[in-house]
Amino acid sequence: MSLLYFVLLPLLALFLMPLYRKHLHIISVMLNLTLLTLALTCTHTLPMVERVAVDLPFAITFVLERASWLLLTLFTLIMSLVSLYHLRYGNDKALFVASTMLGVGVSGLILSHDLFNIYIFFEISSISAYLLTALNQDVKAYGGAIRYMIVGAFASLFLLLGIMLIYLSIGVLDIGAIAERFGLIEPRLQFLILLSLFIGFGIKAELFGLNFWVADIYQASRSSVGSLFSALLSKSYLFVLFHLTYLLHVSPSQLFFLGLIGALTFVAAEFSAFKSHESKRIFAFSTLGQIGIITLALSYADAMLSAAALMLILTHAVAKTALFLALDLLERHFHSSHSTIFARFHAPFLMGIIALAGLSLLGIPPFAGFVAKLSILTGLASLEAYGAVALILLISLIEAAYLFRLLTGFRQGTGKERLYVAWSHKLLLGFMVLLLLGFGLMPEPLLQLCQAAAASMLGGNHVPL
Amino acid sequence: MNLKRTLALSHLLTGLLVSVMIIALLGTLRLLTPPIDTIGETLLHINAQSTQVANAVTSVVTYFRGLDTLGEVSILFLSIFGVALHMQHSTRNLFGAHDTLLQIGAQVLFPLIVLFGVYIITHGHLSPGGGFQGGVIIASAFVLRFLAYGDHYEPSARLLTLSESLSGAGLVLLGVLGLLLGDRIFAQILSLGTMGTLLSGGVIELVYLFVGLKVAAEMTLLSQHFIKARDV
Amino acid sequence: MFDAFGSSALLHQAITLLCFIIFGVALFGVLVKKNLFNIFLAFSIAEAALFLFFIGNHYAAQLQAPILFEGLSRFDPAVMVDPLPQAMILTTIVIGIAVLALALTFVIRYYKLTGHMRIDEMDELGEDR
Repeated sequence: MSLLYFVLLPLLALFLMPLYRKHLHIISVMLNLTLLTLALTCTHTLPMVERVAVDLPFAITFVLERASWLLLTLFTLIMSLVSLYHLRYGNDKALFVASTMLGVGVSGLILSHDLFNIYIFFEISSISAYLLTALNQDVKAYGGAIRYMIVGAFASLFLLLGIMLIYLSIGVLDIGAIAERFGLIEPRLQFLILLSLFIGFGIKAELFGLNFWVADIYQASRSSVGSLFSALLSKSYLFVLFHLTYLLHVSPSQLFFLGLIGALTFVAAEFSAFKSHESKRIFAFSTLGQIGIITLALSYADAMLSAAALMLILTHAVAKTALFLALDLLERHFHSSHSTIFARFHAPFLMGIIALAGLSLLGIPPFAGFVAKLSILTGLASLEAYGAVALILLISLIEAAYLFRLLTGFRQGTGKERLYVAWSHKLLLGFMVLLLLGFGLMPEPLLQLCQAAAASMLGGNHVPL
Repeated sequence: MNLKRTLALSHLLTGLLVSVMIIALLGTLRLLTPPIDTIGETLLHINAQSTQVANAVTSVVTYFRGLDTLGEVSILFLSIFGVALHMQHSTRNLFGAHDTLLQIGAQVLFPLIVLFGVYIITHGHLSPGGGFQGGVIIASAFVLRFLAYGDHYEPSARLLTLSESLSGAGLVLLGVLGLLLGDRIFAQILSLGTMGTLLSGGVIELVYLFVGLKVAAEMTLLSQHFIKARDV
Repeated sequence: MFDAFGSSALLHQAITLLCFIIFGVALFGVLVKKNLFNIFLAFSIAEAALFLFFIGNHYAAQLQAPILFEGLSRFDPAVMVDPLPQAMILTTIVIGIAVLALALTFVIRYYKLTGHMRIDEMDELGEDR
């Protein structure tokens, strides 16, 4: 089994599009399920290292270790769920191309160990994200896409600068080799390189100070696309950012800076979410908040905390996908995503899904989100970071406030419309909530996977060559 | 007047900010010292044994870093797809000039330019050039036709899309074949010739052929979309 | 032509200086210009400045292109420039074109829908929209 199939198979499916242009939705489901199966079959052969092209120490390598395997499986799972969700809506060429390419981009980002190759996949995922934003072809969509392209151009400019400076000063692109030689660089130049890479990935990973645009993008795009953005895109950039951070052995003060950024992201996002009345913006800010917590936890470079952060990535991705897909059903019906639409319909199943996924997001037992948040809090407490514990608990109250405000919307209003939800969608959304519930009740296997992943992620330059 | 003054002030501040940033950047970049050895030099060393290609840049682009090229080709595909999807078309050509002299000139030049593009593509492993450069040259022949014939010229969209998709699929299939028959993407599954001759690259030439075809079709499509955009 | 610089260190510093002046001008354009078209054009200029900086810093006086032709019979890093940066820039240029084409398409469509393309008048998103 070659790791390159995660990139080559979707590309082949794209380029052969003229052969089956009427059945793209079916092809998409088949493709994503195949990739999910492939990812699952890799479990027993981890870690996998594959040289691309030449047998040279520092040529392009693809590496699948525990952490990237966990994310790859999550990504293929989410892609499969989203493509299954769209099966009902028939053939959509633009969605097929952009989402398949997004899959290629994010898998490449987490698999590749070559910095310039990472840049290529960075651009692939960005461009597909621009296309996904503009999917609706109205003023909002184009406004959002243009904003996204402007910040994206900034990000790629700085990322490119960082990569160029690395090659100019140490002459290698493989991130393992960069880690080996990074100490040879002049400290001021090191700082400049780290800063450029941080700006490049930080913009895309939606960190504080660089994330002023995020809510607009989510608002401009369809809700179902929001699930891809929130579950795949920001997570993959965050993974690359921290992978590089751990490999390059950044100083404790720089790690502290990252943690501070994470905390600020969290606080700012939750306050913004509280003030917002547009449900897509609320969910976008809530994603930002979770990214803040994840960044904060990862910045301690501690095995237990990193495992908890990975767990939060998984549970948040599933919960947010369920929420965004449910919201997409509402948006398709009402052609609006203002939070007042919650008072205008009657559909017990959908309301239940939104409530349960929201509870998992908030970290209420017995859902998986609770386990993730609890292990983050205990991890922080064991490191005696009581300030961070207090901050998370306090700000979570705000999160609870706006989520409950959203949910109480269901109880208001009169003359509600009865909303019909197709059985296939019920099955899909129910599966996701059951997944959250199952991992909440039996968290041990998932926690063990996350701990192994965190160990391999923190292990740094572990790849046997 | 007031507005103008604030505008000027903000420009001044931005200019100051940017220049301070650039000066700080330049101050740090003075510390840049060239590395002892680079991965590119190693590739240059092994190029003679592993590829038999006289142009080292070509072997880096298509063989040592073939994956980057594949990614770049897919980015171009994605972008052209987006342009085709979002641009509204009309049959009117925004730039057409109905000039007989230009039309005759285009008739004469069109095959020559295409031939030159094909030359650049097929000699990409021997001299400067290759799939991208040759593809753009071929596309420029089509742009010349657009300019000369105005509304009356419309290349077959079906043919263009088909050649674009199929050459892309051919490129990926070449990679997959390398994985299946050889042991890596774009592995040398063909025999190599002697250095310096036309048929010396093996797979590398096929890669550039596909890339050239794809870029030619894509650039033609791209310019067509902008030339025949519906009037604003 | 660059042999007049004598040492390549001096050449590299001159190239760096010039390229980052261009980069600064482009960055200024991105921040100050209000027209979306100009903004994306400024990004292209900034990108081009980076390309020049990268390629220029890999050239040293008296080095040849990494291609075998009359007079050169083997690949030797001592007399040839590093081929990897050239390949990288070739890739990046194509990506730059792709992004620019897509951006201009979006700007054109946006202009058709709203009748303006000024970044400070973009107000279709936000609360209560």
